[in-house]
Amino acid sequence: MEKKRNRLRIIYDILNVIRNRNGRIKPTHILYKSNLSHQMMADYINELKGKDFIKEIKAKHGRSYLITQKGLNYLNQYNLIVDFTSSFGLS
Amino acid sequence: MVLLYLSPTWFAGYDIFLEVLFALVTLAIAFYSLKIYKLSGQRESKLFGISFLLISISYSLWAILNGFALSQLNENQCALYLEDVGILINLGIYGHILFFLSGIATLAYMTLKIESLKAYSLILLLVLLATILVEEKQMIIYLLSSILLIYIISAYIEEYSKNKNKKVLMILLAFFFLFFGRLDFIFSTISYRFYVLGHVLELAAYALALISLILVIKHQQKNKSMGLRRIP
Repeated sequence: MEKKRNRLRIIYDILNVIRNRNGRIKPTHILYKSNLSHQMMADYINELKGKDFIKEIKAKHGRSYLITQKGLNYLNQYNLIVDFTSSFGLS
Repeated sequence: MVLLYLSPTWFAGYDIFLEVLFALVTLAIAFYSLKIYKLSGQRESKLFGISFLLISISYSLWAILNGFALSQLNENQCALYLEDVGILINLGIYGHILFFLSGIATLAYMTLKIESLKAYSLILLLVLLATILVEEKQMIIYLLSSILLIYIISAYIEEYSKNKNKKVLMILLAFFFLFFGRLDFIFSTISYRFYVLGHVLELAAYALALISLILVIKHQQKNKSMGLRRIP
């Protein structure tokens, strides 16, 4: 059985989904790809917006999310983040 | 007269070296932890970094204090009394005590996994007020830090039992050594041997923490040099 994902991993998955979609994605795609409930996804999206990892773009056809440089830095440094937090019991 | 600790003359200088070393190790951990916080925005990394920064400042002040004591006393045994020293050194002593306890209290708050400014301020206020108001300063600082370390250790035992991570075990052992070191310092007014042993126990604690940090850095450098991106 696969191990339960922690917060850091879920954030990685969401940001990775956005990056793989050329840095811009609609909420329904995040919901579909990240394997989260609607409420959980909404909570994570708010957290990511608060941390400036993503930006919300409002258009005629609905909302979409854009990954920021800070979000890309998170993806690039994910291994270091996981190594440090797991070594010091912070995850 | 408040006696802070007894130290043998042969140990003078070594203690300052160790305190500077502890200050540098804790500063390096704080720096990395805050770097991780900047990258991830993770609350635990922020609190961990802040607590190690406070501890690092505390050790720096302790090293300065002992440097002063070394220049003032030159008998078979060095004893540092609060009343014997000037106002600046008194501020240094209080600074060392308050920064260390604030650091450990922040760490204990982090391990409780609660997000409440009220709870954090309550822990901090109680710890700092007890330190300021109690006459037996030497006893209270080491006793309070030992109690807080028990909570930290219990959280790390829980974390280790969940995932059996060897690196977490190393940090758990580091906190055990720190706990025994703090407990040992309670008796440092009885005999200078406890003062020396306390430093040795803390050296073991910070050596383990430093090894953990070096392993993280080495692993990162290895990944970079191999151009690998681990697929999580």
